[in-house]
Amino acid sequence: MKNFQYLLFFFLAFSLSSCDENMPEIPCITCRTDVNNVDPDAKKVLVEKFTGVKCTNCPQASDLVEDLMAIYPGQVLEVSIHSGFFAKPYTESQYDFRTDDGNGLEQFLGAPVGYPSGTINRFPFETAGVIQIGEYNKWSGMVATELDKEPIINVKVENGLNTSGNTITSTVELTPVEDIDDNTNLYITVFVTESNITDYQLDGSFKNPNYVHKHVLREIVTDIGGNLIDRELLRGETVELTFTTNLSSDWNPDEIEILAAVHFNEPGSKYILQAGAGKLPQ
Amino acid sequence: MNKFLLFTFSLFFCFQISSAQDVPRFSGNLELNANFYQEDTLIGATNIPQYDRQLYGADAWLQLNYAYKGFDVGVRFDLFNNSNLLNPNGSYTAQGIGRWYINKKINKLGISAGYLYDQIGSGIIYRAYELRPLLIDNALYGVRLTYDLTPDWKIKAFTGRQKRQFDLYDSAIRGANIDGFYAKTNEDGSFKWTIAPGFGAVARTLDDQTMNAIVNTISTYSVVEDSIGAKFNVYAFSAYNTLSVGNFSWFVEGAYKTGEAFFNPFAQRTTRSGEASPGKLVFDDGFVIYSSLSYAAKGLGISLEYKKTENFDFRVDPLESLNRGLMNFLPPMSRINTFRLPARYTPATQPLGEEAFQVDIRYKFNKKLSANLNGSYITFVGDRLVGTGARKTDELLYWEAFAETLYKINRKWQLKTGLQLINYNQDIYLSKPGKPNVETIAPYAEILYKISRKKALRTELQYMNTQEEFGSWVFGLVEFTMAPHWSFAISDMYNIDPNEDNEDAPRASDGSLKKVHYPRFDIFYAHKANRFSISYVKQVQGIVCAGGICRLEPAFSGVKVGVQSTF
Repeated sequence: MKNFQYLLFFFLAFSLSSCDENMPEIPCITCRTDVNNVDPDAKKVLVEKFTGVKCTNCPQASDLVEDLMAIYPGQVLEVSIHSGFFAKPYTESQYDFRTDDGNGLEQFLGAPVGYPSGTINRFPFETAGVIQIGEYNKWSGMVATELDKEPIINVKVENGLNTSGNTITSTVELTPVEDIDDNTNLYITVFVTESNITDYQLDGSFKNPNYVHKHVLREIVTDIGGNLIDRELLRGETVELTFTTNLSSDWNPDEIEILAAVHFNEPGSKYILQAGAGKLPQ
Repeated sequence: MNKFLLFTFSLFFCFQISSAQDVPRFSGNLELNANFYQEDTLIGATNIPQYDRQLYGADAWLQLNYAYKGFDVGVRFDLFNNSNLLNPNGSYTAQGIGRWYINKKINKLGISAGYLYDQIGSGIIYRAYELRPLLIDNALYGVRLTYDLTPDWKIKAFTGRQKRQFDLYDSAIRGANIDGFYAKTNEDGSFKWTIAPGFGAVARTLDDQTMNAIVNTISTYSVVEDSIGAKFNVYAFSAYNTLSVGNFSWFVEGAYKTGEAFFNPFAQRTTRSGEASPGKLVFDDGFVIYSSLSYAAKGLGISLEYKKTENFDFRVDPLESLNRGLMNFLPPMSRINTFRLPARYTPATQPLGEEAFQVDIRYKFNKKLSANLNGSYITFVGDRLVGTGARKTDELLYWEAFAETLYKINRKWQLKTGLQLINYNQDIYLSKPGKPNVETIAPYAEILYKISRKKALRTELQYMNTQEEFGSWVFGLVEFTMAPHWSFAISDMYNIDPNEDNEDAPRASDGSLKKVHYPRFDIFYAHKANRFSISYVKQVQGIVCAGGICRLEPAFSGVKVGVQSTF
């Protein structure tokens, strides 16, 4: 009888903790009315996504990033790096999206646990020093967290082609929102990406010959770890940096986009403070 | 933290000086694994940091325990140097106190604090445990109280946060359970029947950051049907009992988890462009029913098991995947095979939906001959979209038919033979969508010859026939043991008939398939409680499983050194 009383007490004690809670409100992002009036100086988030044509779950990660780019137009930027085991093309593939720069970037940022994997402004959301996020279902929250932060520097990218049309000149304008200490070493990495390339991609169990690849990394113009911004960065004063690279004949200039990311490059941090992007003149 | 440990140990040494009649006990164990990597592009042992530039990796765990006057105190030092245990494709380096604990029993009350391993029932709703080959260590960093209501009834409660390497998850966990025992005795005092009932409950409360991530994910869903709720608190309850009557023993456990948002890789969501994309958060409750009935009599043992699981992916962070953040342990429903080829395809437990049966029969005909029959059948519960829109419902995941005999020919010779047939869903288990199930036939034989009282020779020969994955294999092993210290083994796993369609298969420069050997040489030395090993290994990529928890392991090429010591 005494044991039964203990048991009853136990049941009651625990059941009391099962009271209803106030569920969190899910914001209606689709209800946003300002999607067409995005501040060009708003915080940007760069997603460096590691993928491969034989990576069966990678299209879902790409779908997610495309959705985020539609929800936050102009604020979410993507570089899609084909590297690792699953990036080896099929024999039927028309293109090989792997690049030495992409492999180098994977080494620089740390090997993914699996594919797809991505960095969200290279911020170590979960474990100190680990910036690769293997669970793409976490990216939405991380992007939203980053977008809530105020930028300390603005990045604007404008591109031009020479008269022969084979050399890209990118002018990156950096305008600090606040003074940046002289002892703070900032770096800039410039990426060349190409979108809307149709070729094979494994999508679930379907080897899709007409998959449209977007934001594929073609080249890193700077060093893999970025070039040191060896200029004084004062609030409101714009600094111009110029980069040139060849426009490969294999690329479609109408689909080329140049992205620039300003970031740290220290043992403990590669955090991207701000990014910007611009297409080639049409 | 270090000052705290120093103080605690100092306290016990003071006790030692002041009281001579209680003898303090000091014990511990060491496990150390060191790997020296040698690149081998043919078998795919390449393109990870260890092969590219690091060339060396190590893992070590040193556990020290001290017991005195009812106090148990322990500390464990963990070390990972260039380890690929956490990420098989990467390198992990960290070291520090991986665990500490204090236990004290005061009359009927037990108090524990620190990193605690424990479980409720069979672990379906809660299990904190360590599994080093998979680097699973989800100890609860918190406090636990136990109370002996009577000699046969015990109540327990705990609260804390889950360990994540040298850090903690932010979500809070709490739980309680009651276990009992009752026996109906005969007049002569023997048991007529016994029951061991129990009831447990566990709750997890998400931290704000994790909830924000869930909310932000749900808010990106573009259609109303995809938008779901989210709750901070999830509750799991389980009731279980073991009934023993005569030669029969029957264990049954039922568990229920309240609704929460969790990731379902098979659920479809609609993208902003209107297309279907698999994988989204869903909100649902879940349950597990598990039962095991066994019969044991002289020479005969029969065991029947059944399990059904729905929506029981229970994690401290619902957005985690693979082996991370697990709060529980679902019993595996297939045989644990010890021979190399039969163990190659082991089904991983499916927490989202699974129905499984297993039967195991062992019979000892006489002193010389015994046999074991085993069968298991596992199906997926629910449906999922495959390919370009087809839907599979309750599809087959795995079945196995197994038979083994052991014949002790005489005092010197012993022969074991066996046959295994399996059907293994590599679409689900190996994430190879569209690939047909792996069907294998694997006969094997083992001969043990006792040369003398201290020397023995053991030989294994195994064959696996399959058209899928890597294709067919042959495995041979010879092991020579010189008791009590030395053991030498040489083995080879040979891809005798590779599968042309396998994209992972080793190929020559002209693209033709290569039949590859995967040799291994081992030397073991044991002295009292110390064991040393050194092995040269070529290992094909595969799945490493322990208790139904699995993960993909890349190929290995190099030397492994191991030390195990208990003191």
